[in-house]
Amino acid sequence: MKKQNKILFPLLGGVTLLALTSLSAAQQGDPVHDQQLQRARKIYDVESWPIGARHAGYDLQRLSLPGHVGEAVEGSDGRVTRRFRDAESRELAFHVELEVHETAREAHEVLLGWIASVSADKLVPTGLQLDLAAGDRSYVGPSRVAEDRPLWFAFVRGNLAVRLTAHDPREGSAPALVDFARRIDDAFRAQEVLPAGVPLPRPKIEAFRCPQDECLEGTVLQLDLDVVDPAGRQFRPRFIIGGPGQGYVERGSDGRWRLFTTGPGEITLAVEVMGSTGTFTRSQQTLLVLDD
Amino acid sequence: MMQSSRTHEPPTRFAKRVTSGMLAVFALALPAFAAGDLAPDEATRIADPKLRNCQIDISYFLTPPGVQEQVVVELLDGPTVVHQIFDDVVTGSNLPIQLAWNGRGAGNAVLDNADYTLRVRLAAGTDVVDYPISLVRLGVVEIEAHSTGYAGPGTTPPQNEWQMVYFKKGTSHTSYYATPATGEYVSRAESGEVSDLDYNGGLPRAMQRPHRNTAEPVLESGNYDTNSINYPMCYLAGASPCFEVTFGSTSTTAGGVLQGVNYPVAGYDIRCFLRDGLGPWRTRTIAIQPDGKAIFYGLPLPGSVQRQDRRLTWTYQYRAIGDTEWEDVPGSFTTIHRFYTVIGEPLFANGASGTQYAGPWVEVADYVSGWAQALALPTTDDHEVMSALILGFFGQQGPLTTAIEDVIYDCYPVGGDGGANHYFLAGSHKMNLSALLDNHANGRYLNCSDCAGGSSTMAAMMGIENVKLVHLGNMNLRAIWGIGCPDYTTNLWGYGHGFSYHKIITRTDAVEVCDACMCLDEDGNPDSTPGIPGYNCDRPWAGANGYNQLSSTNNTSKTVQPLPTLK
Repeated sequence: MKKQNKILFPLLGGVTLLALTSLSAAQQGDPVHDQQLQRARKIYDVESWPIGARHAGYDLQRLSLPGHVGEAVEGSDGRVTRRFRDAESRELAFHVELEVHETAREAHEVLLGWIASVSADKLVPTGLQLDLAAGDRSYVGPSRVAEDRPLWFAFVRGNLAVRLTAHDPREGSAPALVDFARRIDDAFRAQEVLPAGVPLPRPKIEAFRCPQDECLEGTVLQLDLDVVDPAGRQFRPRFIIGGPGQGYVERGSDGRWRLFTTGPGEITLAVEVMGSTGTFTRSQQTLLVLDD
Repeated sequence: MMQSSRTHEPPTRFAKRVTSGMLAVFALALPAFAAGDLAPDEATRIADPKLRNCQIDISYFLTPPGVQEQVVVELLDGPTVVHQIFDDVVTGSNLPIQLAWNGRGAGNAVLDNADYTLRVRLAAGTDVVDYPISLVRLGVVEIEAHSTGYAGPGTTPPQNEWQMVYFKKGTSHTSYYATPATGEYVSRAESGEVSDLDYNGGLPRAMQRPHRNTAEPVLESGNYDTNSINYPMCYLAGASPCFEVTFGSTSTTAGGVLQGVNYPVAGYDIRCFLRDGLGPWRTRTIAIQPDGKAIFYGLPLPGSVQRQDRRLTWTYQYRAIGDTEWEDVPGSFTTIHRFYTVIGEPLFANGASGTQYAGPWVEVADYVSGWAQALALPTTDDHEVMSALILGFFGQQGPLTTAIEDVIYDCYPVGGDGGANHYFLAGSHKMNLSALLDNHANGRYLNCSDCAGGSSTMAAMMGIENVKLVHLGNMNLRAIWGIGCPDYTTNLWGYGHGFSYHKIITRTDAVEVCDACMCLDEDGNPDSTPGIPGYNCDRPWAGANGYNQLSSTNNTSKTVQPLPTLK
């Protein structure tokens, strides 16, 4: 169906660039969440959490864990996710979430958000309390399998926040999340410390261009995307098509990205680039897709 | 005796048809005479032998009655005989002799699309009857669904049809794909094939089967397929579907060579008819053209939230220009289309942007309509749809043996922890619905926020208005039955039975509330087990049987929050 006919928009062809700094901006304006965080902030005494050294980020794709096979990392809204399968059964075993922030305090807010979401009327135990510590501060979601095999394990190390969550620890042996968390933590610590005042390295979008700012529906447009990864490794773009116009972006066998327009109306075409170190940058532009 | 060929107008209706596949003959047996005469009657003028059950009629007179003659029926391309259709002794009659031919050549070979001559002749002598026949190729390559009343470019009827959304691509479950507005049904040449309507050997391309996967669209070598798709369509409950159809223009010979479709036929119009189990679809299009379009209007879809498959039969007719009477092009083909109906315009969080907001997700529509069917629940208004959704999401009743995606409430006695978020992102007020629907990709456990985030976004995209979250303060719980849990409990965590907070949903700004995460106990003794399931579908917040009193012993605070966005 045709959702929108020929309407001209004032920002056609406009391009905007922005870096995704943290989720804290999105949290603004939600009093309930703020209250919940405030409450958790007091209960868990966040101010007392140690402030660890900053690091440039971490390439979750390079993480290798014994007995498991990792899938490709996915990233959106500043969060990197990677799922791991049992190497033998190929069943989904657990997933790792990573956020890389400018400051340690911002990473603390992520960890705080995780533990504040717990609806039980009891404090979430720290890793230290259960002798399962990792990072500057860690928290544990116990499971019934074994004390050292929790359902989830979350920690911060400097400006990095990590959570590992078992998929279904009832079935078979629960993954050794604490051991894996410590391996990740060791990898964090093995990296160079980011000096104070030095901004967090992020992927840089050198160019993001669509050759036309207007086309007929059904048109396929080759996109120009040039990104510099902060570590010189593989970056991962995620394209977001904002309507009412419709389409999708795919990479051809020639390695070029193409926008396939499938519905008329204005499209806000955004690319969110996840760098290999887990930081993000975003750019967007608009184009008008005309009804054929 | 006829000495020369005669051309005939297309036949009307045959009184009696003989249908024996390749060939059949019908005649009255009468006493034999020495010599017979041929005379024309009627024959099919336009045919597409690649249609299902194509039966080309050839009718002629052989007189006098009882005469026995060796009759030959053959197909000629110009002066050249390309196929002998019939060669046998026929007994004369005052009634027409009727043949039925399937339009195929020797060995059932596909013939080229072309204008031919059907010749009936006596083996002995020069008596000949000729009929012109055009073998054409009729078929559809694209179908684009529109809102009811669409009448072509420039018309913008009120929207009651929406694109549907898939969320999965390979291992990624945030790769959103909206069914193409340019054509939900596409049947065109794949890479390496020469034509849209046929395979390379000349056989007709099979219809595209409805895509049954509800999470992932059609992929070809890892990329979205653009040539062979049949995606479901979403309409407002009670709406009449409208299809804009594009007819194919390329075909393939038996030798694998590209050819046209051999129509329009000079002096004739061809029109297309569409019918499903409810009746014929209306159209204003008189004559179809290769690469041309026609618009069809179907009978109304169900007036409730449902999934309905409709089998459409496509047939064609022709008439000589200037004539009023249409003749059937023999044969037909069938396509099947899946429709989902929603109770209102699919709704999403204000200001949200991305393909995930292009329309209702296929998996969500399939879940809700399937739950309603499984539980035999009506879905004619917002309350009924919400009830089907809440009961289905919770599951564990009737034929629904598990909760949605076989999830379990995140509490220690059933293996979880203390009810952490696994799918709802409180900080950004986002729901990771695709991960939940992808076989609980973030884990089997979920908490109240996950349930509220999931059920609210699903309800809104089914068209239920004013769906919001309700954030509740701490609760000293009475007996509850958590989603995915085996039974009622008064010891949810194994060490206690209260919430530091709880999240539910509403469509009446918390005057009434819904909760897919747990059932309350309606056995009159809500502080102990066992319990009688009290589902929370628009349950009043206040009052003796209200959510506030039935769920907890304290007076719980509540704050209404907006509908979440979708990750």
